[in-house]
Amino acid sequence: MNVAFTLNGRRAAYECSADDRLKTVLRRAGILSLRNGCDGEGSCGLCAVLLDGKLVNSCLVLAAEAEGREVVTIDHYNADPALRTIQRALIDAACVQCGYCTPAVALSIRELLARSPEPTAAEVADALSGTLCRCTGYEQYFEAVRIAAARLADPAYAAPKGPEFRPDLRHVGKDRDKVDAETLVRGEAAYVEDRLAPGTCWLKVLPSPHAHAWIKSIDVAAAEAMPGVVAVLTHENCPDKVYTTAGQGYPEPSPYDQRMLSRKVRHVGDRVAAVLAETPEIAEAALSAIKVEYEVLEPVLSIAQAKAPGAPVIHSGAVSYVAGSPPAGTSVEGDGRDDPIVYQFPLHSDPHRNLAASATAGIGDVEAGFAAADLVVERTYKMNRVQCTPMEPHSVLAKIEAGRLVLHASTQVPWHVRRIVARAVGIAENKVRVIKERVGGGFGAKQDIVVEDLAGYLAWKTRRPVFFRYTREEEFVASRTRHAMEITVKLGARRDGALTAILMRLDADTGPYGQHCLTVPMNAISKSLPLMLCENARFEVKSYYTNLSPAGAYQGYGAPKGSFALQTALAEMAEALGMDQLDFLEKNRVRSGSRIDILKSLGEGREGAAVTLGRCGLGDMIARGRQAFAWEGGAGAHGQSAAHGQPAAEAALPESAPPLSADWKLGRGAVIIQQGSGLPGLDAANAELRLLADGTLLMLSGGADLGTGLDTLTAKLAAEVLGLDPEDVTVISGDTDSTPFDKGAYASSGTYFSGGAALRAAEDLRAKVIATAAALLGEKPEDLRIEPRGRVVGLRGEISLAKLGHLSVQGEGHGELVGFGTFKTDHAAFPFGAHFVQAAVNERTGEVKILRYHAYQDCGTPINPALARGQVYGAALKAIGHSLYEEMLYDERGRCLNPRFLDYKIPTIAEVPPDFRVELMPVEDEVGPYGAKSVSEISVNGAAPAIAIAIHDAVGAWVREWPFTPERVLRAMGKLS
Amino acid sequence: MVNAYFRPKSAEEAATLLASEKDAVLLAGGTYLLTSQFAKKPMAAIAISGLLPAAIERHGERVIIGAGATFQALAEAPGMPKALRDAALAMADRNIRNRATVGGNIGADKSCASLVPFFLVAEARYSRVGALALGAAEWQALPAAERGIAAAVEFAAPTARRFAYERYARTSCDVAVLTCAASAEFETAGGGLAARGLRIAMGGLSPHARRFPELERLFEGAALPGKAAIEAAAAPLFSPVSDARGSAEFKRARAAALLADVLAALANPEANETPEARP
Ligand SMILES: Cc1cc2nc3c(=O)[nH]c(=O)nc-3n(C[C@H](O)[C@H](O)[C@H](O)COP(=O)(O)OP(=O)(O)OC[C@H]3O[C@@H](n4cnc5c(N)ncnc54)[C@H](O)[C@@H]3O)c2cc1C
Ligand code: FES
Ligand code: FES
Repeated sequence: MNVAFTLNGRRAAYECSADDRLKTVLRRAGILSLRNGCDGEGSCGLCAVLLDGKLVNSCLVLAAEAEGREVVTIDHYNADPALRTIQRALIDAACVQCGYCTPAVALSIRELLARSPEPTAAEVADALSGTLCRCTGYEQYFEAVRIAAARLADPAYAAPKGPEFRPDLRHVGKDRDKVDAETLVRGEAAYVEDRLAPGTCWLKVLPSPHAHAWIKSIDVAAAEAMPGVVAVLTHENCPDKVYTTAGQGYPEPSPYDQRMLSRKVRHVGDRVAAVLAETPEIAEAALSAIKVEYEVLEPVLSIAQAKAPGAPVIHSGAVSYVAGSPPAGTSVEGDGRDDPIVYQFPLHSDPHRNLAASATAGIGDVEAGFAAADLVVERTYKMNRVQCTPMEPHSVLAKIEAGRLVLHASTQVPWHVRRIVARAVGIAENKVRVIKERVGGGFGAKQDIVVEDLAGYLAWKTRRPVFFRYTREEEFVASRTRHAMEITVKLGARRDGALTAILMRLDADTGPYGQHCLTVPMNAISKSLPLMLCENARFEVKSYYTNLSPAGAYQGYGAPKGSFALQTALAEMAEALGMDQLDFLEKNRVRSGSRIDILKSLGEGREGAAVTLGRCGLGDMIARGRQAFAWEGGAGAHGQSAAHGQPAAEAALPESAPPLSADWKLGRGAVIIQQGSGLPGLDAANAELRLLADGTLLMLSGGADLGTGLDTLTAKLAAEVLGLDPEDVTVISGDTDSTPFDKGAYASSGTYFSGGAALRAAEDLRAKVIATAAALLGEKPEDLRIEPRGRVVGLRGEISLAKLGHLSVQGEGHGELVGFGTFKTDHAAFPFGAHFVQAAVNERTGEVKILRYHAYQDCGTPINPALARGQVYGAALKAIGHSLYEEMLYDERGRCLNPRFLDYKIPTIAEVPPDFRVELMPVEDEVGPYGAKSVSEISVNGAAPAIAIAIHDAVGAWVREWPFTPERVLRAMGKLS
Repeated sequence: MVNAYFRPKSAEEAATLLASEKDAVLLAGGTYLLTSQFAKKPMAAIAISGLLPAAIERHGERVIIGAGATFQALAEAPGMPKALRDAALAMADRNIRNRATVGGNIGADKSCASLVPFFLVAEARYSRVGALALGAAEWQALPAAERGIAAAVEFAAPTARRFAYERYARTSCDVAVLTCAASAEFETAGGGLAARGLRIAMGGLSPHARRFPELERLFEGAALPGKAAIEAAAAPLFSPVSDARGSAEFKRARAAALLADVLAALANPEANETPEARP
């Protein structure tokens, strides 16, 4: 049928089917700003349009229903001054992170301001109530609306400047536009899904309905015979190789235990077969035509089941070691049926007993420490699986160009993708090119090679372009989740509050495959234990295979779980001692000049060493939080706050807090947190900076910007060093052909490593510029300096970068001026933070509302403060979601019960705490670029323990399992059996 | 999967198509029917947007809401009982409120349909296209295929009658796990306020929201007891099922607490705490 409507002010008519949605038709017509976060469930709002002036989800509107109506998308407004104002305000308020939601956000605000020119915070929340954003934590959207409303009323309005740092520098420490913000805020082509050309084939996977089964037979004849089917792949015709999907430095500390397709399926949603077809509909039809016979096995659905004697064995293949030998007493002989398991080096594993990896170490003598204690507290904490939920699911476009495999990927690790795909496909790395597109959120899930191996292989095999994008359900069940864990913490302390011993016993559930199986749980220890000074400390880590969804990397890695367990246990010890929990932390925490001995046992894959801290800002951050929360006033009974359990109705609450009845009781909690900045001694990053003929710069950075602002950071560093402005620097990044190697975006390494490489490249170019200019000006290099904007000034003369650039491309000139920087270091840079929470807990219903959340954060020099704050807001709100309601649930057959946004809740703007504050309190690092450290990951580490402590303060119950659902709170309070 | 699309010129023509077309479904806002959960269900969509009344009117005590009215229009309509506005705003997602219709809500009749509990306690009547009006509970009792097209919802809201509405959801923008509406007149009796003509409806405890006469009898004609007493009395009467949103035990306790809150709000509207209230 033909449907005609007004699209962005012009008549438009499209041929469409009865089932076509407005969104499908508009995207077909080239309107790319309509995104897809939920596959038409109607729950994400990223496909929003204005239909006769109302904001609606275009996936829930039949195209036919648009007949005769007025449809407006963001594209229209690129000529609309009001929308330009809103888009500008979104950039100014640093709201554009991955940008996948930004067009929908801009359109929502446009609709809001059209009906309410001076909206209240509640109206802003209502206007954005249907739009999910996983990156920003929403807080800065309120600011963007304020700026836009003020500018629409008065075009001359200047937004107040945020805090600035490093007055000695021009750009570093000051807010500058994010370099990709314009493209993203306009909804222009940027992501993998925007690169599809006619003729692209679609890849779909047949998911396993069973958690644990052998494929007895698989018949693909009917599927293969279907017109439009290009290829069908099963375990019978895929490469016979095992690898790990973990995008980690090679050799990886993860077992090679995954085949492209295996004859054994190990979780519901595991790959059974893959179909490549000319349309997605044909691919779906072909999947339905595949006949599979399974031999269903008993599944392993918990850590307890995995370690039980006689448990079903998830990996029964032969075990071998590239280096080193198997631990004594472990079995290595395969059953002759299952895929082999190859360890690059020993991880103290015993896969035939479902033990993927383990580690034990410590300092001092914990038993002596417990013996010396006046009080010993031992508690077990449980944390369930949570999903990263990037709004753009895993996505890749693979094609053959000039005989090589080219992957346009939504990835955090282009070089690891190249290495792993080359291995999986069986070709050399020079035959593979990976181009990282704009990434619609990664958060760790895209550190794994989840779709690229299959797509790459089928493109290589068929020579056809292949598009493979996970559905939202696949993203839940077959992407990567945060490991479920159980951590037992045993603490010994003297009456005066001095810790005498810490023992952490950690069991992790790595799911069916072993990617990150040791490093994530180890990170739970290595990013929590070093915060406390204790001579006797020990940890025992075990990571088990189960038949639940694969676990992997997720922002914070293991740290949020270790932090939850240890910080909550410390507060429980404080309660037992009758001390204020913050006083107890203060007494035992690391401080400037502390020697952290436990790091001897926590080398990341190599021998560790004790570290003596330089300056540590924890004291200042705690003091700031104490002041803001009026913490002083003495501890109440059992270490609770003096005002603990105060009815919310009687207290002064933050301005926009909801009205709360006498059933709501108030409590507060505070924790200290830490992370690292990349992996010292293990990882490396490189960058190249070219002076162009007009004096501008081209930065070729290996770094993978996931929306975090890394490209902006590298541009600013180059501009700072070369006396230019960020607009003078174009950044090309994450392309394995045209940019130099970088380990990728993980382990909080972006600013420190990729930024460090960019800074060194800029310094190298500066040195070359000065040497060349010195020769031309006839002056000594040491007498020259670079001044803004792009002038090399000597004692007697000066020359512009533009002139030098011009000469560099002339026959009589000095040749191209290129700087190169490599960053690697043995120096460990720790960002620290202190997070403070005030929660209201309904003692009748167990519901928890976060009223105040303050994050005091030391990220060293914040290179772009507003973007850094955005990272903290985003991480903290995610962590609030993890702590209160996010949880993947499974039935007794291992099927995920809530693989969609209607059932798995992530925070919306309505969940933003009424008083949500981030303060950056920098302590400069000696090695990081201009003193910078990492910022984003650390901020997920605080919410869970701080909220648990606040809940206890409010109602006197310790909730030791996250998320703290109302049901668990009531159980902890003894109100449910 | 929409296999065929019809755009009739009148509500009557829509009713004829509904009766004659194979797999016929009425398509209003589409926020239920067009979601991915029905991607595989064959449907012949009969578009009714624009064909049904959409006005929201109050004539003295009588309230008439066109079945074509959207949730957002209902939330913005002046003169409606606050509890009805709360029910409309319980659908917290504005994008959905802009499309979802009143007719679609009673048509879908989901267990946690936001408006249905209110209509049940208002003893609303649904007028239909080319058929006699039905009471809200009668409508629910009919098989969906026999209900026809709801044209408007009508109920009495006399000044003496109070309404209250609340829901429990896991997050602010979640679809409700439990809903509760109550309505009563109050008169002074024995030194307190006694509820007369008490009506209670709850969703989330059965496949469709329903009245709870057993609860109504429990509290009828006397001053409402305190929250703890209401909870203790009501909890044993609920038999929810365990699912991803909570165990049966939790839902039972939570439903009892929700009821207690709604009855407290009914008895004391001044103190009515309405977390749902938004602009
Ligand atoms: C993200 C999201 C959030 C949601 N949140 C809520 C919520 O909070 N509360 C809630 O109640 N629902 C919620 N829903 C479900 C849905 O929005 C509602 O049920 C809505 O009221 C349906 O109205 P509609 O006009 O879109 O109906 P449609 O989808 O068009 O139709 C729904 C059903 O009603 C029938 N129908 C439509 N109009 C009539 C009529 N006039 N007479 C008889 N039958 C009719 C249709 O045939 C169909 O069976 C949500 C849905 C989504 C996607
Ligand atoms: S894709 Fe339309 S609401 Fe998510
Ligand atoms: S910026 Fe909103 S989803 Fe990434």
